[in-house]
Amino acid sequence: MKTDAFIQALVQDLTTPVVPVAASLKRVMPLAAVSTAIAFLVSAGLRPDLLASGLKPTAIKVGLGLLLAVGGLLAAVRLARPDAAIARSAPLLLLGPAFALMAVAAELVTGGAGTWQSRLWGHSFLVCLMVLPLLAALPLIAALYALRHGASTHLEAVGAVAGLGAAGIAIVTYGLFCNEDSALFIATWYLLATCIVCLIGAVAGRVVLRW
Amino acid sequence: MRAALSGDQEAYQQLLVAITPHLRTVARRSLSVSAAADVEDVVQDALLAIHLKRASWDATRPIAPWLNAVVYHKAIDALRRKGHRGEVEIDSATDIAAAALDGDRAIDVETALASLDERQRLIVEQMSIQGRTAAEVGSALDMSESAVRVALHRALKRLARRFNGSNS
Repeated sequence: MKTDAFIQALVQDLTTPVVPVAASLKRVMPLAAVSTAIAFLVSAGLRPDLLASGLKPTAIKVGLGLLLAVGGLLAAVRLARPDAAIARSAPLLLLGPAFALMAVAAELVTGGAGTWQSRLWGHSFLVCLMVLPLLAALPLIAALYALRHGASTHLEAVGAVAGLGAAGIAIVTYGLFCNEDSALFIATWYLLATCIVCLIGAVAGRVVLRW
Repeated sequence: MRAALSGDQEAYQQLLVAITPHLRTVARRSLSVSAAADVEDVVQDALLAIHLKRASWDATRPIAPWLNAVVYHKAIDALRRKGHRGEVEIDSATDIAAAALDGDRAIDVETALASLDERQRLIVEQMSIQGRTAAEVGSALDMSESAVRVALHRALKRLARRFNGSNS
């Protein structure tokens, strides 16, 4: 078919609207986040001492989760454009890790330095490493679905960044349940679990985000 | 493009026609000389992507980098596809020259069109080659105008997948 004729078909199709990535994300992400949170908190429950003793560590977890979720999803919207530069989104991606590092520094300064090893290992890091990626599954699927409307030229990067956002949502939910109170534990294991989700996102993105 | 995004078909047509030579230049530069015959294929693939992914252009930024990124991506894709098949180009110099001159050669889109079902192909052909409107095609095929539009859009998405599918 000649290119000029082909253009005619495209012009005729202009009446069918196309969905921007941001609009699609806005539609599916709240749904995925809320259903993940409800499903998990109904089956596992909030930590019993949430109000009594756990507010500060919980605030760190929720804060970290929100920063990762917002930073990751905003960066994903940017990277979904074919002419995006990865470097320009880097500050968004570093929000969460920077926050976690600050929390760790604050704890090392104020808390006793002697017991840092036992606080780092905690008592549930395996649960954390398994449950967080599971909780991120639905948000990651939703994010990749929305990103299929985009046209990224860095498929793995945008998949990984979607994983970051999804892990953030998982952390907000899991943080209301988890009773590990050390910033050392949170920074280490939560972020390691986040890396696992990013890796899955990168591998999946490579396949499902082709255009 | 801004006018086109708000639904101005005439502006959209002018834009697509105007950018095509540029797309062709970028495609030709990105592909090696031996792949000259694929240039028009990449151009059409890029036009289709520009159309289906037009929402990924940030209207506050210049359009050229966006266009270039799309064609370049499609050219790389075409090269990868060839590499994947391990295809060896044995075109003679005259073939290459002919292909370079004849920019509008019908190539792979025909193959992609063949993957559509009968009605979709008819709709695409009538609305492109014969330049008929959705209403005209609809009355000829006994479909509503909006059904024709939906069918056209589905057909284009299928073409895009087809372009992609052969390299996965």
